Amino acid sequence: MQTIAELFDLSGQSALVTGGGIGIGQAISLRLAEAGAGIMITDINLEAANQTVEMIKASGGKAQAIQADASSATDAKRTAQATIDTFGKLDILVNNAGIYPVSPFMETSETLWDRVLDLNLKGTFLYTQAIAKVMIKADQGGKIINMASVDGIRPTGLVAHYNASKGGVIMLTKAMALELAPHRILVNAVAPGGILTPGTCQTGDEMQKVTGKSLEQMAVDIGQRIPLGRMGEPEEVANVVLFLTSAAANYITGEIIVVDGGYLLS
Amino acid sequence: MTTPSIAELFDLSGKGAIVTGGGMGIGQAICYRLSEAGASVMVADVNMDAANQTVDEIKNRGGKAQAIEANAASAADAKKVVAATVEAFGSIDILVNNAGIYPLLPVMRVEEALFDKVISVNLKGSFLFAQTTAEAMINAGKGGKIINLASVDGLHPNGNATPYNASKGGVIMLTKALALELAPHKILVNAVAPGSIMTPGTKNVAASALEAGLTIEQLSKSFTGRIPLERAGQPDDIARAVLFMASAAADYTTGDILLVDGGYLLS
Ligand SMILES: NC(=O)c1ccc[n+]([C@@H]2O[C@H](COP(=O)([O-])OP(=O)(O)OC[C@H]3O[C@@H](n4cnc5c(N)ncnc54)[C@H](O)[C@@H]3O)[C@@H](O)[C@H]2O)c1
Ligand SMILES: NC(=O)c1ccc[n+]([C@@H]2O[C@H](COP(=O)([O-])OP(=O)(O)OC[C@H]3O[C@@H](n4cnc5c(N)ncnc54)[C@H](O)[C@@H]3O)[C@@H](O)[C@H]2O)c1
Repeated sequence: MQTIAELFDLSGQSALVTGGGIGIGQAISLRLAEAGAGIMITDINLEAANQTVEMIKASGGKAQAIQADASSATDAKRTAQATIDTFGKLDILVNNAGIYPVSPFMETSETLWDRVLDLNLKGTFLYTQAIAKVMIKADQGGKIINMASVDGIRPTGLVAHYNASKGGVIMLTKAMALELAPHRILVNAVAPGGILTPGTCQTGDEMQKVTGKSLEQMAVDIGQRIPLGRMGEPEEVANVVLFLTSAAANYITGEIIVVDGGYLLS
Repeated sequence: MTTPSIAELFDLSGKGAIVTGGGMGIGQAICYRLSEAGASVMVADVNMDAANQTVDEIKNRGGKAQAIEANAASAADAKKVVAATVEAFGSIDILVNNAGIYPLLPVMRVEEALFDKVISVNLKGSFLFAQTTAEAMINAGKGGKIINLASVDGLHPNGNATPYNASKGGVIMLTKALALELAPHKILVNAVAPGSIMTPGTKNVAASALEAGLTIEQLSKSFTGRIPLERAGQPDDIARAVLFMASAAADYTTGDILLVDGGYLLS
């Protein structure tokens, strides 16, 4: 029987985190590195990715940055290979990169729709397929964690394209879990509620333009809809990702863990 | 916000926990994990011998625990257990509503008394223990964690288990309703929904269902029929998930139903 410390020890494993430069992806990278995993941080923003690497190295962890687009099939293959070249193996994939531009449904262009679906949904498919191929070849199983959202379960307004992408991520998670189970590749998702990140701060500005509400008023509105009365921190999502990547979750696959301070209850 | 280390996240030192049905099976595994994390554990069970065995093992491993005879379906026993926990450990921070029964019988043979019994242990018991424990938590003003044992059968019916399916469906919605109402007190309420787990209870049920005329095929279909990970779970698989929910790693999660089923509900 493994001790609790052993359950959460990822030493000798390596993880690829998309969009690891800032926000939730950065917090996930820091947590998995603390648990001992070597981290390949991919981001379209190489400067941000490098900053996360510096933070990890400063606390004694192992990490490397690579510029890559999470919606590109060739980048999926390239980053998988880079992870193997750097760390010798690939045990964990976190499909975190995602965008949530605000746009009223009647004004949403096909181009915006495609951009959101290509990254949030198709990117998750492409990266999982490319990385699972490597995992199947190595025959040691693996863990894949997708970033869903409470918006994939209940719509909030002004982000129909985003709602559709994350609803798709939830069912994609279950479908891939079913098909990859024979290879002992476990696929799960985390569905965050309102989390304070650079991305959501920008969303606040965009919402303000569309709704005319002040940021202060929006914060009050949001707080009132969250039973725990506050937005979450990126670390609180990262802690749940750590659980799913750990041996503590070895009998869990196809599951969506909601991390929303109770938002979906209200 | 200073970020706690991973070791700090899973450290339950100084916390008091109640586990109903902690004498064997999943409840026993939960007691061991909470105790390993540093919590003091009140092991409540109708079967005092079993509860004492769990306590002895925890003490052997250097942990702190106490056994108490209690029926999870009794309001008076809920009060007794909560008072004993505060008395013994000084505080009550975690409640695990684990005690549950799952007799297998075709629906046309289920009598009212059996229906009542299953609902009162599995559903009403979770309500009674949650309400009594939350009262103590609210008085202490420090928040807390309540974790209910639901089941995949609360989401998707299992044959020959009608009262059980209904009880666990109820536990799932009870979990969400309590989470909503107790959030202002920083009491987080979540459930863990196991799939097929090898416990003394599942073995007994298999034996008595065979006696009652169910075939081996019907039984194996209802237990391990279609699990993508191709194995039944162990009690510790569930205990790990309960530990996670009880820990600070789950401090922004409330009203969630965590499935631990080897993918069973996908198939
Ligand atoms: N913040 C929230 O409230 C919230 C809620 C639910 C779900 N999520 C999901 O969590 C994930 C992260 O969100 P966040 O708030 O941390 O975002 P963020 O905007 O703060 O950070 C996203 C990171 O991803 C990178 N990125 C963007 N497009 C990319 C691409 N095509 N390829 C590679 N990298 C790319 C960015 O450069 C940035 O470093 C997203 O999938 C988001 O949908 C966030
Ligand atoms: N084993 C599984 O496959 C499985 C699957 C899904 C859910 N569950 C749930 O997990 C929980 C534990 O199941 P298990 O398989 O470990 O059971 P078990 O029968 O092996 O052990 C149950 C324990 O609870 C005690 N108990 C029974 N009735 C009680 C009562 N009225 N008051 C106090 N204690 C009582 C028993 O004495 C025993 O110690 C139950 O809620 C069950 O519904 C189990």
